[in-house]
Amino acid sequence: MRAAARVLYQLPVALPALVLAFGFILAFSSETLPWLGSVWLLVAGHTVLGLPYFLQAVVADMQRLGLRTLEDAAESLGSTALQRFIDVVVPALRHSILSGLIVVAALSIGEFQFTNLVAGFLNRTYPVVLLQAFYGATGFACAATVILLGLALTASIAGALSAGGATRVAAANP
Amino acid sequence: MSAVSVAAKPRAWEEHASLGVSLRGARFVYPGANAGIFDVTLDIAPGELMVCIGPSGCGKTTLLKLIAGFLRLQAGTLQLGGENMAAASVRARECGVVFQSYALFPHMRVWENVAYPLRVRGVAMSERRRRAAAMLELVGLSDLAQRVPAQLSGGQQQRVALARALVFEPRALLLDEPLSALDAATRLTMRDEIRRIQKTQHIASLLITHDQDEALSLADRIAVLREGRLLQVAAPREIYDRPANAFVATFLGRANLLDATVTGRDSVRTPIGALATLAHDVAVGAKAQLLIRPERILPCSSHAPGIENILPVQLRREHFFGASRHIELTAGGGELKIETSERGPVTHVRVPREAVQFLSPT
Repeated sequence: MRAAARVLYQLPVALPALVLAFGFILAFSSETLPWLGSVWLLVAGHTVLGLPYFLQAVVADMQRLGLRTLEDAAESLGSTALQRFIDVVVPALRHSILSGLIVVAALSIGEFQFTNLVAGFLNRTYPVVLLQAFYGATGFACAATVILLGLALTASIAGALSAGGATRVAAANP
Repeated sequence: MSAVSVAAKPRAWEEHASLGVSLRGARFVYPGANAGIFDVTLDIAPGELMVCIGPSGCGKTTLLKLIAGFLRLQAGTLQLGGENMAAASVRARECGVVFQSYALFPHMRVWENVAYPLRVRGVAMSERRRRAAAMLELVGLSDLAQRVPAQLSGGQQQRVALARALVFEPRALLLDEPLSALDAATRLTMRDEIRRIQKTQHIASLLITHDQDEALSLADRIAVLREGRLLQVAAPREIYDRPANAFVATFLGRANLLDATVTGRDSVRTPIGALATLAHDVAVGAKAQLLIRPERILPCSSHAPGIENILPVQLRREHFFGASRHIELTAGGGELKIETSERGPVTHVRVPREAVQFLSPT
């Protein structure tokens, strides 16, 4: 059961974004689901692509912290499911949630394959704009690339720092 | 801090056994396995510290989870503080649980960890602080209230966990191998601390362990569990001096087990030789299993005529522990373990009559 869930959420890593994009195009250009070209479809696709990386970070942290036991403890101390989630689960996982979100944001900003196929030129994400700029204003394209590099670097550093925070806590509290 | 007067408190729980924890005919079998607990009946009175001991996989942690509510009974009843709780949620049972891994919330300060049960119960902030501080004082950690768990040692974390489990005045205190993650020296201190704190709170407590020293030194009563069944529930001295069967005898303390044939109303024949025993009612000619504790066998210098149960022995192996020596001997056609503080060579041993016990078959 657990293994099946893991295979399912990690599938998008192994699957080329291209395949996912064609799947989306086939599914959402039909009469019943005519959502191709909408912003929300783009968001949904990016969620699917980013989820494995996010869950990877969070699930590893859950296991290292022994979140299951922490939740058992909180429950025995009298907390409700909602209280456990707000008081224990989210704060205990804050480092990995943050680093996971940063990594996914970085992936999402730079993602081109899927975006280009699904959104075309209707909703222009950063790399799509960049691609178009290379055909016209080279100066603009270079400037945009520098910004993208800056964003990527910031995300990496922030991700490393927040993940480092998580391991420091874990190392001191095995 | 070590000397906790046990005798000062009369055994009041024996009269009020209806409160505290009362488990009757408890059964839980893990799906797809023949493991679990079968027909366990156990009463823990308020103020009593029950220690449950057994080899790994015997079901002792299952027992704790069933009382705490992490697992549900498949048959039987459970009462906590006189209320039926077999179907109640973990929250409603209000058991203070101390986990082997402490399970402190890593993002909360020490006092916030201790105050957490009060917070979820909607107790006002000032009251929360006051009661958490009082509890931390009881466990001797007042100075560390503002730290986070990662800054504490294992023993300190365990004290916080204990304070947190007691602050909301639970119906029962459940401790799951609380000392096994600590180093040997801290373990001894914490043993006394747990005992002291448990006694001041006068709360029905169940401690799970696989350490026999821990069980014998901490418990008011010991419950020996094997393959999901209770073999014996008794006070430490009782269980050591009169074990129910060979398994209990070997699991708590060291033991010589001898297969004997009864030759008279106060004598037996064993592989180590003929022995005189106290008068017994086992039929002559019957087979019996005997228990002789190693420390009750006495080395003596030579064969002294007129004194019974003296056996010539040969040394097989010796372990020196400073205060005592554990010696393995060959006697006649059998083997014998003895424990002695004497330093000289051992050529003969004397087995006092009253040291020979008959065990009931397992």
